[in-house]
Amino acid sequence: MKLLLYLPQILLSIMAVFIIVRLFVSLFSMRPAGRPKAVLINRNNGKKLAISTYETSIGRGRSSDIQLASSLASRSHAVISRRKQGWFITDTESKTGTFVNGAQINEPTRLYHDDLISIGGVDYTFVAPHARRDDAESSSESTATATGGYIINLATNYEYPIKNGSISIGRGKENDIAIDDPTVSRKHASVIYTDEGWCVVDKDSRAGVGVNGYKVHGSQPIEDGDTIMINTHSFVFKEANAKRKRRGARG
Amino acid sequence: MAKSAEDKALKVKKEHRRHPINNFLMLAVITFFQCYCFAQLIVENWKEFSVNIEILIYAAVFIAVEWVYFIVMRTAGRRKNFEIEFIAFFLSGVGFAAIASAKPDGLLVQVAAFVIGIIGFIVLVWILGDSERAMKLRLPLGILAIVILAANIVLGTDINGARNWIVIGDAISLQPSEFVKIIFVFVGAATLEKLQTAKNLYVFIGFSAACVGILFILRDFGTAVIFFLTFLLIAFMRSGDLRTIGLALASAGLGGWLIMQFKDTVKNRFATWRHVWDEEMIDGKGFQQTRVLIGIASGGLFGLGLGKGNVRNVIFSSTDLIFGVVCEEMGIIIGLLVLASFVLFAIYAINNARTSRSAFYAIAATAAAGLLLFQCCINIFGVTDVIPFTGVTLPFLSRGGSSMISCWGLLAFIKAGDARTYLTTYGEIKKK
Amino acid sequence: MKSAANRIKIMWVFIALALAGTIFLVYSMVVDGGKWATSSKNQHLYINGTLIGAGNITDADGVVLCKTADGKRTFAEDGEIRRSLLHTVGDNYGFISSSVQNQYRTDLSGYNRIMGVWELCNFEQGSEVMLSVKSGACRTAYEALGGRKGAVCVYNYKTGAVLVSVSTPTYDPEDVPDDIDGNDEYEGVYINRVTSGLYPPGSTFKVVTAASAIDNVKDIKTKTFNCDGAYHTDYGEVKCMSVHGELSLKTALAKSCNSAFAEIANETGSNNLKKTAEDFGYNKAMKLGKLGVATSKFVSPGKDELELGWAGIGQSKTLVTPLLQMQIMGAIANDGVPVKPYIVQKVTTAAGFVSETAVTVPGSRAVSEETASDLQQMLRNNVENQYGNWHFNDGLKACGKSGTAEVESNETPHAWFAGYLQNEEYPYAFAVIVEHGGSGSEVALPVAAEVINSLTSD
Repeated sequence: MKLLLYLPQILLSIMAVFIIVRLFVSLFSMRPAGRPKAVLINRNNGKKLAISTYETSIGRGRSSDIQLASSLASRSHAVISRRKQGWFITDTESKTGTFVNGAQINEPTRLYHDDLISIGGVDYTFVAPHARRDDAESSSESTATATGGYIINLATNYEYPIKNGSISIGRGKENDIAIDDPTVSRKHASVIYTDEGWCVVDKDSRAGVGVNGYKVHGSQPIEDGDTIMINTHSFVFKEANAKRKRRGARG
Repeated sequence: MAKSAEDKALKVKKEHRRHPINNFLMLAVITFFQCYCFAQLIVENWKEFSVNIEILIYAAVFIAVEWVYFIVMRTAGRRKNFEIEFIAFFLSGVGFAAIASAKPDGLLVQVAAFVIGIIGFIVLVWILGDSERAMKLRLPLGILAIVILAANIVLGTDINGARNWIVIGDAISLQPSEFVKIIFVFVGAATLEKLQTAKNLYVFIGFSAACVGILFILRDFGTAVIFFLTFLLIAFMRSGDLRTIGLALASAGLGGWLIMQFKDTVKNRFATWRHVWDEEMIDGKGFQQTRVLIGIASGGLFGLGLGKGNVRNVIFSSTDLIFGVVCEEMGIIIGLLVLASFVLFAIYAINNARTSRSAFYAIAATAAAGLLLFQCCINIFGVTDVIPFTGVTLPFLSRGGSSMISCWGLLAFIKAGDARTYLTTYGEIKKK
Repeated sequence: MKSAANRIKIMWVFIALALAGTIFLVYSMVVDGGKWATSSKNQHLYINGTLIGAGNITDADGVVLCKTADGKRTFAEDGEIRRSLLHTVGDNYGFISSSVQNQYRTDLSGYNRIMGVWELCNFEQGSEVMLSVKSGACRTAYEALGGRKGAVCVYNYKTGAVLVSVSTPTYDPEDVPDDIDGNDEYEGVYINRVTSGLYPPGSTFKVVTAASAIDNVKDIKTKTFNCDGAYHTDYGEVKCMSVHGELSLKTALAKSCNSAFAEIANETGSNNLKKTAEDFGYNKAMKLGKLGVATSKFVSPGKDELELGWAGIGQSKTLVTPLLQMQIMGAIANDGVPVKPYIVQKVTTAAGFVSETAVTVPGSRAVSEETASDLQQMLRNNVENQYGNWHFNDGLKACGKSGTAEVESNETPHAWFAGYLQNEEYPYAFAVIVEHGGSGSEVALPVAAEVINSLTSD
C-alpha cells in the first residue's frame, strides 16, 4: 500500500510529540522545591508569624508577606531573606528604622536563632532552631538535639530513631538501617535535617529512591508521615512532636 | 498501623505512574530522533558524497556533546533534572537538521556555538548559584552592555540593512546585541530588598532606554522590539505599577510613530503586512512570507521529508525563514512544537516563581523565558504574515553563533529559577 | 515574595497572545492552505508554469472524463461525452467557473490538508475526483436535446447522487469553436443551465400550488372548479388553454387547467403559497457540493388577485433552476423529505486515501407524508391517464408534470417536464427544460423519457 510510505514521515512527528509531552509532564509532576522555615514571635501577645519563603517582606502595606498592624511601621519596612550563608534582615528605607538586638541596622544584617527584632515599636523574637549563633562556625550537636524523629520499616514494623539529625540506609553493615537485599546499593539513601527541614537524599543509588510514589531527584524535603520507598522496601518517616498538619499541594 | 500501611502502599502504586522521566532513556529517544532526521537527509542527498560526510561528522559531534554534557553533569555535577536542557537539545536538533538541509556549510559554526553555548550555560548557572555574587555583577555588566552597543555604532558593519555586526578579521563576525540580551535580563532582575527601593527602577528604565535607543540607531528594528517588550515585562514584575507601563507604552507609541514617519524600511514592512499575496508583492516584498506560507501548506501536518523542500532555496532560509524550512520538511506539528517549547519555558518560569530562592531568580527566569517567547513569536508570526515581518532569528533553531550562545545564556536563568537545581548542594552542606 | 510571585503572572498575558497568534495561524492554514499550496509560485506543483500532475476526473463507472498526459490536460475520448459534461467537468481556461475542474483545483493538483503535497512529490499525481454522473446517460441526454438549448438533470432521490447533468448549448473543450463569442448559437454557452439557469416554472409549479392547497384548504379534495376558459378578476383574467368545464383538484392537475389553479391559488392565499414554495426550496440558498447554484425566486403577489392567480400557475415573477425543479420532485417521491443532491462521489488521493466522500444529507421536510402521498397519486395519475405510460419502459411507474412556460408574448414558450419514478430499483427524480421548445408534454417529455429509458435499461 502506497500510504505505508508516509509512515516514516509520521513517525518523526510522533517522536517529537512524545519528547515534548513527556518532558512537559515530567517538569510539572515533580514535587515543588522545599522552603526555608522560621518564625517571628510577637513578644507582646505571643502571636506567631510564619516565614516560609526565601525572601519575606515585612511592612504595613497590603503587598507585604507579613503584614504589620503598627502605624509606626512603613508600608514596606524590611525584608528577611534566606541566603546561602544564613538568614539576613535588610531595612528597606523605612521611616522608623529596624533594630536587631537593640542596634539600628543600615545594611543587611545576619540573623540568628532567638535574636530580637524591633519594627515600628514592636519586638519580635526570631525563631530558627537550625540557625543558632554557634552554628555559624561549625555544625554542632544543637541542631541534632533540637530535632528528632524515627523511621518505621513497614515490613518489620521496626522503629529506627534518628540520632544527630541524620540516618543512613543501605546494604552495607555500616548503615544505620542495613537492608540485606542485593538490589539495594551499598550506600543507598539518607534522611538528614537541613535548612529546609527534613530531607531525604538519594546517594546516587542504582535503583533510586521514591517518596510517596515520586522519584527523588537529588534530595527532597519530607514531612511527618511520608513514605520513603527503596525498591520493594517501604519506610514511614515520623517526626518527633509533629503536628498532624500536612502541606497541601504536592504539585 | 498495618491497615494504614496497606493504604499507603496502594496509593504509592497509583501515584508511581507519573514519576519523572528516566533521563538516560529520554536522551536516547532524543538522539534517535536526531539520527533519524540526519539519516533522512543523507538518504535524500546520497549522491552528494562530500556534503554527506560533512553532515555526518558535525551531527556526530553534536550528539556527542549532548551526551558528554549529560554524563558530566549527572556524575560530577550530581544533577538529576535535565528536562530544560533536553528541550533545548530538541530545539537545537530540529534547527540543526533544517540548517543541514538549507545550508550545510553553516554547520561548523553552529556546532562550535552549541559547544560554547553549553559551556556558557554551565558557567552562568554556577554564577547564579549565589544571588549575592550575581547582584554584585549587575553594575559592571550594565556598563559593559552600553559600551558594547556603543562600540557597535562606531565599529559596526552593515549586513542586510542593519548595522548590528562587528567583524573581527575575516573569520569571525559577532552580533553584540545578542550578548546584551543576557545582560539586559541580568540588570533587570533584582532581589526583593532592592526592589523595595524605588530608585532602582529608574536606573533600569534609563538602561533600557539607552539599549533600545542604540538598537534603533543600529537599525536593528526587530531586536529593539524584543528589548522593549522584555522591558515592559520586567518593569511590571518589578513595580507592579500599571502607570509605569502606561507611560512607557505612550512614549513608545509616539516614538514608533516618529520612526514610521522617517524610516522607510519600517513603513514598508507595515505596508506589506497582510498584502503579501498582492500581484506586486508576491515576488517583491512579500517574497519571503509567501514562500514560507506555500512551504507550510505544502508540508502538511507531517512534512515532505528533510531535503525535499523548496523554502530551503529561498534567501535567508537558514536564519530568518528556518521556521518555513522546518514546517515544510518536518511538518507543521513539529513547527508548532517548537513554539510550544517556548511557551513551556514561560509556564515553567511562572510555576517556579512561588518557591524561588529570591525575587532575582523569579524575575530573571520569567524575563529570560519571556524574551525567548517574544523572539520566537516575532519570528514565526512575522514570516507567516500574522504580524509585520522583521528580521529576527528563531531562538535555538536559526543559524548564527551569537544567537545560539545567547539562547543558552538565557536558558541558564530559567534553569537557575528552579530552586531544585541547587537543592543537592544545600542539602550536602549541612550534612558535613 | 508573595507580591513578586503574583506580578510574574503577567506573563500569562503574553502566553495568551502567543496562543492567539498560533490559533490564527492554524485557522488561516486550514482555510487558506489550499490557496497557498496551489499558488502558481509553488514549485512542487508547477514547473515553468505548467502543472506537473493534476489528477483524473472520472464518472461513476470509472470512465475517465479528464486526465493529465504529457503535461497536457485532456478530456474524455468520446466527443459527445466531452460536450455533454463540459459544464460539469469544466474546461482548461477557467471560463466555466462553477465546474469540478475549477472548484476541486486544490484536490486535483495534489494538495490535501493532512499530507500537504507529499503525494504529488512522491507519486507525481494529484487526487482523483470521481463524479456520481453516468457519462453514457449524459450522452443520451445531449443527443436527445438535439441541438436545442436546454438542460436535463436526473438524480437518485434516496441517495442524492446526480446521475445526469447536461446543459446546452455546449462545445468541445478540446476543439473550442472560433466563433464562440459571436455566434448566437453559443449564447450563454459558459453557463451551466442546470444549476444557474433561472426559468419561469410554468405549469410545473401547479404541483406546489396543489401541495399548498391540500395543506391549507380544508375541503379541497371534494371541491370542484368550473373552467369557462379563464379565471376572472376585477383587474383582468388568467386565460386557460381550453374550456375544461367542471374539474376536481386531481383532474385540474392532469388537464393542467389554468383557471382552476388560479382560483385554487386565491383560495390558498398568497402567504400560504409562499410558505409552501419556500419549504420546497424557493428563496433559499442552494449548493451542489462545492459548486454554486442560483437561488430560485418566488415573490409574494400580496393581495392582488390577478397576480396571485398568475403565481398559482407558475408565471408571474417566479423563477426556478432545473436542479431545484428536480429536487422538488425528489421531495415528493421521498415522502416529503428532499435529499440534497451531490455530484462528487469521492476524492481519492494518489496514495489511495479517500479524503472526501459523498454523504446522503436529508434536507428539512418540505411537505407532510400525507400530502406527499396525495401528490404522488395525482402525479402518477398524470402519466397514467394524461401523458401515457408508453413513453417509459415497462414497470417504471413514472410520475410527473409537464409545463409550458410563457415567456415574451411573441416567442415560443419553454417546454418543461419534471417527474420521478416510483420504483425501488430506480428511485430517480428528473427535470428537463427545452428553451422555446413549445409544449412541455410534446417536447420535453420525450427527452425525459429517452434519458430515463436509457438509464433503466441496463
